[in-house]
Amino acid sequence: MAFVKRRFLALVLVATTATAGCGSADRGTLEAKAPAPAGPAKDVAPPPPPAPPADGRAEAKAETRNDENDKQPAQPQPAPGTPATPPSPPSSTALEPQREPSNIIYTARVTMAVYQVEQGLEKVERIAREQGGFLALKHDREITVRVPRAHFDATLAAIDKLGDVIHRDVQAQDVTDEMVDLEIRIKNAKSMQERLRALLQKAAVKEALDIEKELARVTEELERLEGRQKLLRDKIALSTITVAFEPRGATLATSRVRLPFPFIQELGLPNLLNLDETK
Amino acid sequence: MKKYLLLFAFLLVGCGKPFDVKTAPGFVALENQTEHAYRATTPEGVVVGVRVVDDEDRGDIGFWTQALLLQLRDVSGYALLENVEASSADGTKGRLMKFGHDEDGKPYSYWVEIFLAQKRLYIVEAGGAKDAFDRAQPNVVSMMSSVKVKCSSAVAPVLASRTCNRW
Repeated sequence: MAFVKRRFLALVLVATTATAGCGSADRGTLEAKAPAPAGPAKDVAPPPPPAPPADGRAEAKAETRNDENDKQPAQPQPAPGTPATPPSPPSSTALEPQREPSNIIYTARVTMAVYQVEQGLEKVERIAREQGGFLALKHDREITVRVPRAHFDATLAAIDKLGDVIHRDVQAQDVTDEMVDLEIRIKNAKSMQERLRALLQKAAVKEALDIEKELARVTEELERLEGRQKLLRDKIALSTITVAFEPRGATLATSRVRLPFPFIQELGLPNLLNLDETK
Repeated sequence: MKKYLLLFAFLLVGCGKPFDVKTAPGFVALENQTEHAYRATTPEGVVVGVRVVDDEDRGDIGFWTQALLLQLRDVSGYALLENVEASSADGTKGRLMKFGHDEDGKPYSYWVEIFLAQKRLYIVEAGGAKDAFDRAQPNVVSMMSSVKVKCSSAVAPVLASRTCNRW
């Protein structure tokens, strides 16, 4: 009996170690699979039609990476709405991971002059709906909309025509590595879950308690990973565009050279319209 | 004769303002202005004003246009609606910039015209709530185009200095 117990515990230990180590597995030896077509998050807004994945190749406008562990050089990425071109064939070495060209999250922030703000907010929302998107957030002077990735450029172009665009910040964040990593972790967690379930069926009552505890931990981890994967797929499928009607005074104050002409700072409506004759 | 000449010179140097503007019907000129050399308003609060910056000939029109755009558009968030060449009543070339801006959630119009003449920078401003401004626009345009920043009299070439520009 003691021998059987030790064997169970040893098996659980080995399985746990395998799960813990799977995240640091050499990505070069594992084949990355393309993620399933992405869908919008349930808790964000009414579900828009899923975006057709952009399969063309072109230079991305900008790229920022959040994954600090990602040391791989940036690859040319497809921009949304670009003409379709077949992806380059896989390299001769079968062990190299395939780059999923569509794992890019596009976000933009447009700063517009403070003029006819209410109409501007309504127009931005209307443009987003026309492009198959939806309203995500709305404040007095700021609105965030989400549009299918394929309509990202068209939406930005339409927003540009609304008024005086003071500043525009577009980011293309490549999350391919994180997606590949998640895929592997989920795969390993699922197989771990299967093994633990199989062990549970054969285990005695006392050992079953330990296995169930481990099974609960693995299940929790699996749910966390799948949630993150779902979130990323949603962000990839739906680009986020924020339009703010605000001056850039606060952001420029620290960087801008202050010209030695005080009368320039006095220009504007408040001083002109203050009709004090004794001033 | 000497006395008359001295009096004439004194009048040229010491009197009047260094520009001319004709107050349009529906506007009343305000008194005791400090920041503005001239300011007039309608009952609805559409205001036309003129600022004069003395001894300012360091920049050309391009420089001042860019400096004003940076301040009003980038820093203060005014929407640039139009940026065109302008001309004063005496033919001096300048720049007219038309802006829009929300004040307390309502749209306002704000026009700025700049001229360089006689070592001075002239800034002609006009502004008001958009509806009122649109109604007063013909008179605003009339006032802005009546601004003279250079003496156009026959003696101007002879007295080509700031003493010439007094109205």
